[in-house]
Amino acid sequence: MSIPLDAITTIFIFLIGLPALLLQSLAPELRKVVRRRRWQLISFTMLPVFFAGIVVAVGIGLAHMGEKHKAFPSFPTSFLSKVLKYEGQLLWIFILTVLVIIAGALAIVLSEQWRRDAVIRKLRKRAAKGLARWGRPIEEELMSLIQLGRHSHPGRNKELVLQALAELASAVQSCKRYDGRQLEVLIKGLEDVLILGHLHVGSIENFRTAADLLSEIVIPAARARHSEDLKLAVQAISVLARTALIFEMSHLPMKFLEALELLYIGDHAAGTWMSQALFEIGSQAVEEDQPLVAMAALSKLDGLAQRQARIEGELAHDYLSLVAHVWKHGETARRYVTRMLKETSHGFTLALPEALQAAQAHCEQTAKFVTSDHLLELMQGTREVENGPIMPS
Amino acid sequence: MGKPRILWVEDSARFELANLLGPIYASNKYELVLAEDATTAARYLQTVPFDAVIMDIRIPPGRDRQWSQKYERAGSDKASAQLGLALLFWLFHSNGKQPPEWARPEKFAVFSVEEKYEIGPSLEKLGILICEEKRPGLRDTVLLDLIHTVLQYSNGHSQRK
Repeated sequence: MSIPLDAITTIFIFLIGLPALLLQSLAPELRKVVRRRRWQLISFTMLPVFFAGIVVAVGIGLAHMGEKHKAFPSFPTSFLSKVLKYEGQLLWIFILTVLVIIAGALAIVLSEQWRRDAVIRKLRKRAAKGLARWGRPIEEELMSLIQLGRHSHPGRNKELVLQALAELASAVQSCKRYDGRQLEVLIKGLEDVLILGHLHVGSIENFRTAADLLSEIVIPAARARHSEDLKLAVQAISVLARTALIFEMSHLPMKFLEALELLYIGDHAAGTWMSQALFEIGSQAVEEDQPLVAMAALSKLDGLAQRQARIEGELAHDYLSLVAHVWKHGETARRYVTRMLKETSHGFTLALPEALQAAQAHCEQTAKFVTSDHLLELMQGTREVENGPIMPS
Repeated sequence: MGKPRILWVEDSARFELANLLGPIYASNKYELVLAEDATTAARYLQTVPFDAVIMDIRIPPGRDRQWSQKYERAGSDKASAQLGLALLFWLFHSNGKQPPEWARPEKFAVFSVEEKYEIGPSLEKLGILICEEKRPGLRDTVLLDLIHTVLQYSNGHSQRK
């Protein structure tokens, strides 16, 4: 009874090579994550070979018993003896079929386990294991998820990572021990996922999801006192809105601006972060010639200013800086901001010329030279307006 | 005090109806907040007090399962789902909580393509009386005027009280 060595060797080579073959067919960013799971890789390579080895060993054992059967005709005429008929050919067909089934099952299991959404789901679940213990995700797993998102293609691939981050953020903020400081890595990672390099900038849909995610983060974060997460979320909103402006993702910057509205709280610090974000988005909108976005940012900044008892400090600087940028946008824009300034100027702690001077000095100190220049021109312009020769109506 | 804060729930606000935004910003009278789906609108309505809310009836569900399930049950069709109305009922009647203190029917208006006879009975149940139909060739100031009407009505209502 001869053993079909050729066929068995071929199946064994296939079994050993299959994980490597599938691994090579994965997208590079996915492969990187999968390769880090060494024990999983080893078990996926070794276990099927081990099982196949046992099956072949059983086959050899039975074949050996068949040889004995020939020597001892008293061998029981059971199912086994039927299988061992025809020089053991039936036996080896059966063994080879089992081996092929093992190889097929391995192929199915591997392609299921290494599918993008399955890998992301696993990373999210592993990261979430840290919630019960520390109230925040396990950083290593979270970083893997973010890395995967960074190098994924825009569109559906990034979207899967963003959904996972949204679920993690929601789980963190639902924890009783959430105090506004557990989402630092996640929020910074969100920026990385969307804007790392020009080739990997997220799609419009990805940015929309990010705006929703940040809106969801902002509400519970704003309820916590001195929330670091809130500050980071506001900064992320600003960065992503400006990126959306630069990449001409029409309509999206407004969605980010609206997310800032959810900071409706009396917290002074949050007001400062919000005013800075509104200035950054508004001034970028002027640069990108998107006046409606600039007007929306200025209107929100004006609303924020009017809610304060006195307009001073950072809020005054940001407000006047954005006014200066809009002022530079042309005659009609000048009329608009002049009217706005007239209505608001009584709210400033300092008189308007001093407030403008303070804002200009602040910009000079913080290296915002373009804004500083615009403020100088605004100072000159408002002086002329006061003196009367070019009074905009 | 600050400017009156207005919520406009409208999925086309940043698109084909963007021309209605200009007059609001140019007037500098109101602080306008946009919500373009039911999830976002519900988030704002629960978080921020508004002086007036202008609501579209045909809005998409957004990310929240509660709204997307309603939307799917209606055949994934904005016109049949009428999530704007569902949102109003949820706010005033059925979310298991009292509506926020600021949320009174006189502060709400509907601005939608639905004709008044189609949604009139529902609005009556909600106590919402102001309804403006979106027709082709809208004036650019239609939203500004609508906001003005709601604020006037709402202030008059609170004075009468």
